[in-house]
Amino acid sequence: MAMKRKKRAKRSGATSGRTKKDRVSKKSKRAAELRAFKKQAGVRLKKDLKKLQGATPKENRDAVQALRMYQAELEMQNEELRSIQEELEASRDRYADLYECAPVGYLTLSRKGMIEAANLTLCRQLGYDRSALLKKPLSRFVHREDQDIYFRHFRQMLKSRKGRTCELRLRTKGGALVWAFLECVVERDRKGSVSRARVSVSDITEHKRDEVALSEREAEQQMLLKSMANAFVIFDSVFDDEGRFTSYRFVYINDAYERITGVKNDDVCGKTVHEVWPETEPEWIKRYGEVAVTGRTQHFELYHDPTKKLYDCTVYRPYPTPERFCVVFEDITERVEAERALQESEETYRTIFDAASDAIVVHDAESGAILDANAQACELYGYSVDELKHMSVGDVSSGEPGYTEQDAKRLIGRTADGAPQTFEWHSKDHSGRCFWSEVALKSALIRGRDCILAIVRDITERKAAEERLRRYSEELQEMVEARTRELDTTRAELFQAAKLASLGRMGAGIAHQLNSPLCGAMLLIDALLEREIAASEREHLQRVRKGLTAMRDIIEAMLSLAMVHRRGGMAWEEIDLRTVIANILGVTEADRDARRIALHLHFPDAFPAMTAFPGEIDQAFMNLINNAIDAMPEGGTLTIEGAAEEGHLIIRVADTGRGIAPEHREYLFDPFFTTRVTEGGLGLGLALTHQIVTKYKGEISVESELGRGTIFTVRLPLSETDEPMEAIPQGGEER
Amino acid sequence: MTEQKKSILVVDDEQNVCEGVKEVLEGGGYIVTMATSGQAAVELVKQEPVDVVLLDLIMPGMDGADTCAAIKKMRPDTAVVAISGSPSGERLNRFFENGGVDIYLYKPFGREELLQGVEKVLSGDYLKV
Repeated sequence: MAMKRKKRAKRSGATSGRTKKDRVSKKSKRAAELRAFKKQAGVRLKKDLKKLQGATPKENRDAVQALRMYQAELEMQNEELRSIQEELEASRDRYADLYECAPVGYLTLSRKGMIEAANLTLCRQLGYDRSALLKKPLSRFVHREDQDIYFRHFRQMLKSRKGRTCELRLRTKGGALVWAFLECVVERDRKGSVSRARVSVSDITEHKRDEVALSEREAEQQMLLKSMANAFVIFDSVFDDEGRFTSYRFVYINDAYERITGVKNDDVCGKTVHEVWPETEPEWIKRYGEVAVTGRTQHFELYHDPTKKLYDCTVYRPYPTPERFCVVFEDITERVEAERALQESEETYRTIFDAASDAIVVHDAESGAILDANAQACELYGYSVDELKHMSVGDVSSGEPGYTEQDAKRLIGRTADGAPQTFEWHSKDHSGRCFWSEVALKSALIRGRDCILAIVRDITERKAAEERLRRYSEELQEMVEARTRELDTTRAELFQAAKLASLGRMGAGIAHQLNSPLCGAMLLIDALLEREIAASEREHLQRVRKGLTAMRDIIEAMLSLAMVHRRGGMAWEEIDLRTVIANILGVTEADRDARRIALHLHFPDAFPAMTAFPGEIDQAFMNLINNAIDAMPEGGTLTIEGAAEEGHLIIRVADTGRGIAPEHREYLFDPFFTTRVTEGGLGLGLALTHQIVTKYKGEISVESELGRGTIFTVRLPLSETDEPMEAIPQGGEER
Repeated sequence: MTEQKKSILVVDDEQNVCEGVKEVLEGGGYIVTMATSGQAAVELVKQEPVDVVLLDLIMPGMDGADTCAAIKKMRPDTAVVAISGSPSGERLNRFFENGGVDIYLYKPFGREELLQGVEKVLSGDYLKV
């Protein structure tokens, strides 16, 4: 009974822990028990002592004896109790340890969900002191979102009166959430209804976290597989009775596979390929079978007729057994088609490129590197396309100043900047031959790349033709200039000749009128001179005859101007100009003497004869000498010098007369230009002289100074006159 | 002088020329007759042949060319010496080709030139001219 009581006391004590306060209340309780016990014993003792009053000594002795024995027994019992108590205390401490320091939290809940007891582990789990937990509803420590779980769980526990488990999140003092696994056992009262619940609380946060991570990873993998761009299929192998791979069965197909083939996962899963596509080509069975059986991954491209598509397939066996294999598909129908189209386009481009009659080189717009060249370019430069692709633009240029790689790149750069260039370029081919080319640069976008097209044309021949043309043009120009000069001269001469011709025609008319009477007179005088006549008469007649001859000469001179040479001009003769001059001087002697003109004559001893028509040369010098004499009416000096040099005869006729005014010099050789109208000058003399000198391809020039004199210089070629000249020059016509 | 004198006809509308020629040639030993027109000359030659005709080319009436042609037609052996004051190439050529003129003397000429010309035509040397 006492033990029972003590046990109960201990149990109730166990619920209150081992604090100092607890111990104090326990001691007082026990003291109260002892006092009650002593009081009871005292009552009994008084009863016994009453019995003893009046007792015999023997009885007294017996009674004392009994008391002593009783006392001993009590002492023994006390001792036993003390040792039991010690044992109990040790046990109690052991269990308290187990309870308080258990690896899981423990708590006791009242029917109303209040925390009646909690172990230290729970306190640590939640971060609260025990006092903060006791007499508080557990729900206060449950995460807001998990309140429903808790109350459902609690209600069902009360209702079913059975232990339950649940998972929910508890909130710690610090605000952190702890995943907890709650396991409850119920304690029932005598009526069988739940009086309280004992709950263990396990921290499953880590576990929960792992679990979430795992499921997330799985979902992610599933998602990846499902949503990957490539079609993915898992097949199960189908073998026949003899173990041959005969077909395969759909296990899983992803979205991409559905999209590409048009079948649905739900429709095909579990079916064999022959059920889905009866016309599947045997090649597919063969290829898959090889992978399933051997386990060696295969990669191939294969056409699938049922879906009319070309696939790029990677087949592998994920497990060491042949039951299952996977395939990754890629629909390459369009890609292959595009590649084929690209290749066709490329071939078309190449054909056109090579068919161009001009050489075409494709350069990179930025670097100028050669990217491509057509057949004509290869022929032009003497390199293959591959060789050209490894060459720079400088390798096909002459490299002369203005035609270097830098120059070429500058031109390419300008074209890339949007200014097409056309220019002539000095190129170089494989053999090292440099040649002229015409290059047109244009920018173009080829295969998405900025390129420069160089269209090159060999213009060697054109250049040569141009050069020939240029030279020809120059020659022509020279010829034209020379001819123009000749024409100018000729025109001037013609102008002169025309003037002279009109003069000549007039002269011819006059000649006709004068010549016949003159002829009669000359013949009659000649006839008279043949007769026997007096000397004085003869002298007179001879003088007249001389005058007639002079008249004839004048007429002849006029005809000469018209280039009508009738007399003595039928044959060339060797003429010594010294003799000609001497004859003229003889004729003019009287005039010179009359004017007191001194004569200086200088001729070298050896003076070549020239060939000429007699009469013409006489006429030319006669006019010069007469002019010189006429220029010196008050006297002076006449100087005539002759020289022979370089195939020319030079005769200089100089006077010290009045000179020729500068404004007159231009007209000096014009017919009828005279400054001596009052003195009877006809103005024919110098014109005739000029005419004759020019006819003999000679030159005449004049130097003059007013009041000082004039020098005429005649320069006649010797060689020119070697060639026969027209015996009868064309010219004036008789009228 | 030769035993038989050569006869010469001078034809010129200028009387002085005829007279002068006659004087000179007679002095040179020739028999000279004169005519002052082409018609007269043709008549004279028709009556009697001459060795040489000295013929002025430009005359009023029948001119030298026609006269020459007529004379040559009648007497082809007659030598004709043309005498003129102003010859031109064109007309001269016409005389040589059509008129049968043998040689040419330019007026004015003197005694020496006349005698040389006549001697030349009589000797047949003129073709060399």
